[in-house]
Amino acid sequence: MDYREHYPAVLRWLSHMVDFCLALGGFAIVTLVFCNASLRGFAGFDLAWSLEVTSFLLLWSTFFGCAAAIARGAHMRVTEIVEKLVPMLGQRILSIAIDVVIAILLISLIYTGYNISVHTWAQKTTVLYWPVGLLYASMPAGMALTLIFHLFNMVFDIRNPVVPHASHSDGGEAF
Amino acid sequence: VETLRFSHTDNPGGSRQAAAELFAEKVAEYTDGRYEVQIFPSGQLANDPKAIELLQLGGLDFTVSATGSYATHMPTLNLTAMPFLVDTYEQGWELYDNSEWLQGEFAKLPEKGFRVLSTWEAGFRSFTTNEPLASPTDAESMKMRVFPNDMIRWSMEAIGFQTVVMPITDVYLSIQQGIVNGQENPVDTIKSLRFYEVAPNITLTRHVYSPLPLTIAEKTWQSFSDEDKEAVLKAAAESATFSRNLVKSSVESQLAEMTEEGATVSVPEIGPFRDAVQSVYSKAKDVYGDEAVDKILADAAAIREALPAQN
Amino acid sequence: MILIFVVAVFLTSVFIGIPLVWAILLTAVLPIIVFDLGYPLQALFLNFIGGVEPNHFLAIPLFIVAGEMMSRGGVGLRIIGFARAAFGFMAGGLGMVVVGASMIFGGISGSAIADSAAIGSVMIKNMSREGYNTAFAAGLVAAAGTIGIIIPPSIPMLIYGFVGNVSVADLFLGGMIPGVLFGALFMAVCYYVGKTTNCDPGGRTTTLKELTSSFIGTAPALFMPILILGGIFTGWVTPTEAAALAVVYGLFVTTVVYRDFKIRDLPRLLIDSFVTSSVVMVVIGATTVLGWLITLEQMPQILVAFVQEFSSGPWMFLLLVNIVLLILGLVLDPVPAILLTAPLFLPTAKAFGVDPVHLGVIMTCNVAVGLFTPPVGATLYVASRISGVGVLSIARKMAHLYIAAIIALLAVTYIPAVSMSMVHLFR
Ligand code: NA
Ligand code: NA
Repeated sequence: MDYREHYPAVLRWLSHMVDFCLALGGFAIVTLVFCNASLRGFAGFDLAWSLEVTSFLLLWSTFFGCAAAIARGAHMRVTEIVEKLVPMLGQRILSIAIDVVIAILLISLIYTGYNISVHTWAQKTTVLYWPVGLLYASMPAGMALTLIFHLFNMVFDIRNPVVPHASHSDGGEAF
Repeated sequence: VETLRFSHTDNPGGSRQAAAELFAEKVAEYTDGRYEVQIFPSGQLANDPKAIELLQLGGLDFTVSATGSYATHMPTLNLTAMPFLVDTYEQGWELYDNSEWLQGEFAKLPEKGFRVLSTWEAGFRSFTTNEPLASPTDAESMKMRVFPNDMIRWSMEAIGFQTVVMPITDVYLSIQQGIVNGQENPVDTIKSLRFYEVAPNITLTRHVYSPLPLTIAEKTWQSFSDEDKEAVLKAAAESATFSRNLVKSSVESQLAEMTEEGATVSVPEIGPFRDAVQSVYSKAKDVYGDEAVDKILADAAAIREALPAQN
Repeated sequence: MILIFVVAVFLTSVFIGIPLVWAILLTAVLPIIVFDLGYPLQALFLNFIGGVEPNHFLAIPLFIVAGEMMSRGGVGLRIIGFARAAFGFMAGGLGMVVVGASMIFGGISGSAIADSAAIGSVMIKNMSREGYNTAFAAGLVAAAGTIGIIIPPSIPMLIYGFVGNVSVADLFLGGMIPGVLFGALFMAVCYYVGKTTNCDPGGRTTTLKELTSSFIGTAPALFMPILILGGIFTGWVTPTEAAALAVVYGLFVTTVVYRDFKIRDLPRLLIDSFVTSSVVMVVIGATTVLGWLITLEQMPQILVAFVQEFSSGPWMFLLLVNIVLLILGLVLDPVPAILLTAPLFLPTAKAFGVDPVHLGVIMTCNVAVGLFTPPVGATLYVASRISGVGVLSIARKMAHLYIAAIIALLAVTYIPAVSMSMVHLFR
């Protein structure tokens, strides 16, 4: 389910900021790839740095997108089996247990991701000489945002009964 | 028995795998079976840059990769990719084993989390193109794929190519679809990645000597006893000799096989190519400083003089 | 032992409803702790980043954006109108359009994911609008998209050619007839479904005038695939760049030509598309993490060794190739599945007198089917995410497609001429 409508103002603002970054990143990716193709096709030269910038943008927008997806409750999951076989109370306990497991995973991803980023900071990309750690920081940063949204979702799940999957949209308004 | 993990990106039938198997055998032999080296070929565990990062993070013990791959951790290593530093295998071996400047750079690697044990062979980089390439004049109408590396890109631009940067996995399809006219790599790679199928004109310019330093994770290295360090170094040296002789001696047969499958092999007049890339040395000085460039150029010149080409 | 544990953890965590990305990561982490394997988490999770990093994955968000742009306005309806006019006389005509489009797209792209993202983002919504069951529509897109790696160019075949020292050109030739065979059988399923469920019964007559007017209305949209195809064939652009070109062209068509899309809606569209692609991409990243563990622990080798105990002739051997790859295909993506098993299968195949090109085509077809079998299947995820229907619900509606795929697989496996005749013709 889409948790965003239940968020307090601060979280809502954060979610808008993440969305804003996604829109900006997406626009930059489209523009850059298109311009590089056109320049090569018509003007006869290739922007050597475009590969590095697009992979930077792809990484950051993917992990930010992961946070945006958790705010929308949009990550893919198999809900059919539990909804059919487990009684409501069991579903509620299971859902909270799962939330805790996810929180632990996220914390370890942030911790190790931070270390990975620190370890690779001295390493430089080949064209622009950007720190490789800056590319890799996308993972812990995205996971930290994901954790913030996830913790609120968890509090919401504890306070409210489970909503059957069939009765809510999965948040992707587009589809 | 402690298991050590060795990752490389060559195919199971390739020369790196053969040398890796010998290395594993020798490590087991010289450490009296205290260590077993498990080999993961074809990049199934990691591509070249990731393998080096895994050395640093403790996910791998050994890898073998082109000098350029290590240059993201130590930019000056890019200077080894300057064009026409050496002309023969013997000169190249001397450069990697005994150049004072290069040894000094290698000695700084342990603080980055890994160290060089020996240098394996990959050979000299040459061109494969879909149209004949006899001189820099032919290059002017061609798009050349380059891997993300300044020095190679500058050289290609200096020769006259229009360059396109792309990952190795996209190259075959891109040549086939005409996005680029060709690529440059050692003969061994040209054969194993089958570039001659889509770019059948093989032009042996041998413009860059491009061997493969074998590296070990510093953490793993420090965990060895002195005796085991000795043993691993010995195994590394022997596998390097094996790799060097294997690659050097198989170039002719690889070229013959590719010719049989429809490729055309030619040796162009090197002079015009050599003249065309002169600007690269000054460009390198702008980026890496006069001192480093002068040192490696001096080392290379001394080696060329001491071990002249036999023809 | 670890193999069984991994499978058990994975199935349990998926089926109790842990979102896939976390379920897969958990499956990779738990065995390391339980069996004390000693792999540092830093190294493990570096693969989470590495799995998302490959540059050609840019095609995923870009094609989703392009498709979304074309389907938000009235373009989709126009395409449907034309498809109806052109194929409405046949039962299941609209489904056949999906398969046909996937085959054409397969001819320009080497990736099944890009294929299903491009087709699915336009067609799933339109098919359900026309009365198809949404889960079936999604399943069809997931299945048809995999033709993208059977019809050349194909990234898995390229990898197989490199690993096994087999001519890539021959492999590409070998994939042509099998690709058409898969497509034809999927079209037959569309015909059957259209006829029996009455969602698309066919039998409609179209006047020439109807056909031309709907064609003229659709022409600017239909020009998009021509632009993409042409751009790649003439060597102007790479497939990734073609996706960006499609976005820009789509923006031009919907804002200037059709005037049914407003620039101010663009940020919203970009956000939605990138959320969709992120959901798929992080699952791919997580699969890379699990694949790393599977590789290190040599699980495919264990499986192959186990299965080879029962093997005695080429007939059996090929069946075992099918079984092993279908099992691995349940949890692995094509490229790792091929990287891990090709070195094991190739020598055996040579011993049995099976042509390496034939084996490569068999393996590619197998991993292609793995892409749309649950619980792990990249095109299934893409279709699920685009349609909003759960993976298992889609799979339940795919029975006929699975049967068609199995028939095609058996034909490719046991009739060498299916893959080899084109090769012999041009060799
Ligand atoms: Na294809
Ligand atoms: Na699957």
